[in-house]
Amino acid sequence: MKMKIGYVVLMLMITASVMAANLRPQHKITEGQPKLMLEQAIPQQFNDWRVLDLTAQLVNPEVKAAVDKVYAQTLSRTYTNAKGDVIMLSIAYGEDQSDSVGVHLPEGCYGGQGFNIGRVVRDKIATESLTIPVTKVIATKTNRIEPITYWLRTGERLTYPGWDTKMSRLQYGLTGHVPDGMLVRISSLTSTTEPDDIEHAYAIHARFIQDLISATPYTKRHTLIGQVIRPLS
Amino acid sequence: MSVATMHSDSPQRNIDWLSWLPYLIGLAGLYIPSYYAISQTLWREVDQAHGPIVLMVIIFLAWQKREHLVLTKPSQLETFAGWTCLLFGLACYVLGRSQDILMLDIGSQIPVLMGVLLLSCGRKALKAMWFPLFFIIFMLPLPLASITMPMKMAVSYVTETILFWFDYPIARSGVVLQIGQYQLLVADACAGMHTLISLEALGLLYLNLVKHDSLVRNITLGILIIPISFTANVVRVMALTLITYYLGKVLCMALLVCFYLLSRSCLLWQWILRFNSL
Repeated sequence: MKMKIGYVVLMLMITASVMAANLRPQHKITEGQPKLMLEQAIPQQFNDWRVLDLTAQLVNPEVKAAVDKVYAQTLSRTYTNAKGDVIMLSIAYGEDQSDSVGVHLPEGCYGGQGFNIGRVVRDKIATESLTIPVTKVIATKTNRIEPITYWLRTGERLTYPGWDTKMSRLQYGLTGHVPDGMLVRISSLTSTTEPDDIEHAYAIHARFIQDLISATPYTKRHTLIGQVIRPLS
Repeated sequence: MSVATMHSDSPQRNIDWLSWLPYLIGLAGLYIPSYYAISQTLWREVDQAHGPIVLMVIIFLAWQKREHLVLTKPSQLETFAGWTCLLFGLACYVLGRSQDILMLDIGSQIPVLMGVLLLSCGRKALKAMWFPLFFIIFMLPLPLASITMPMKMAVSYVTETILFWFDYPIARSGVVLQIGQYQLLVADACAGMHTLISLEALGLLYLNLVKHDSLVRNITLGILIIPISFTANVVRVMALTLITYYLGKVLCMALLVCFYLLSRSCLLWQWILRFNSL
């Protein structure tokens, strides 16, 4: 009797082991597609926005090394418009967003550099193509007050960070696919933490995002926002 | 053949290797790939460097209780509970292993081993082995990011307050400390969430090994581990701040490297400290 139980257990364990090995997702969903070149995919100039040659970003070697470990490509640009608004755009892209690497969220990255992370709010921004689920964060460090708007793309989908993203990745994984992932972060500096200032900054972020999506041709939009339903024209 | 009677007859137990063999092969087939995977990734991170040591402790604890591993015929209840645990564990394993969810992959060992123990040796063995099984929790990559930040803030705050009492020119903004002309960032490592975890693990291990009778004493000590670890981290940050202030940043960096090397063997150190402090 004992022997019998033992062998049934062994059979089950072997089955589980084989199943686990076979269920491992193999196909990167980016396979077969032309390699994404972030620098070229994002326009340098659109609407009244243009790139400001000012790459005085916060670069912390430790953080940079960590970022390079996780992401395949990163892009960091500063845009300005006719009114003199300044927007920092930062995009990180990885072909393989498995659990061990994952996406480093601004909450963590900024916190690691000594910023205080204020309230984290979820919001939606309507664009020409689709409504983007964005997360808004306020990072402060001494005199630097930086409202941040960001969103995540996991494969073809836009997801809120955390559980949403995890479940989305799991759905891909269980069907044998490894989704790529992108983090698009828009931020600017404000002089005070007054609600009006912050709201104003977020309004500029929203306009920047809408302009950026409209200025990107339909065929390239999936890079930023995943699946895009094209108009039938 | 009843192993129970055989056991009472001969203190020199005959280990029925043949009956154990399917379980051992099965477990090896399940978890050798998992351990190989984490030895390449998770265990190489500073945060999780205590993993292999925890594993060794678990094996040691289980080995010490090996006389409780006597094959018996499980009762109906044990059979039912055993299969439930085992199937649940295997489901977690399949999901965790295939989707790289380490929590489920490594964590599935708890229900799987519980199931195996119930089916092979019954609930007495499970009762004897509860501590090694529980200890597996300390091998898991626990999601601690949400606790680390407040912990860092608190460490920075206490450091600032204490040094300010002693009239040092210190100021703080968030987790950045400014002393004299130097600016220091209280990084993740200083928050000591992971020292806290390994300290908690060692504390519980200590309590388990010493087997003190008083429940109150055990619970008090278990809870006290948290403030002990917090104080240790404040002392560490304060020491580094003062070294920077008096001796400059270069030396502090050199010392930090030493600290890093020490943290590699930190479990051993905490082990010693712990014994000294009790």
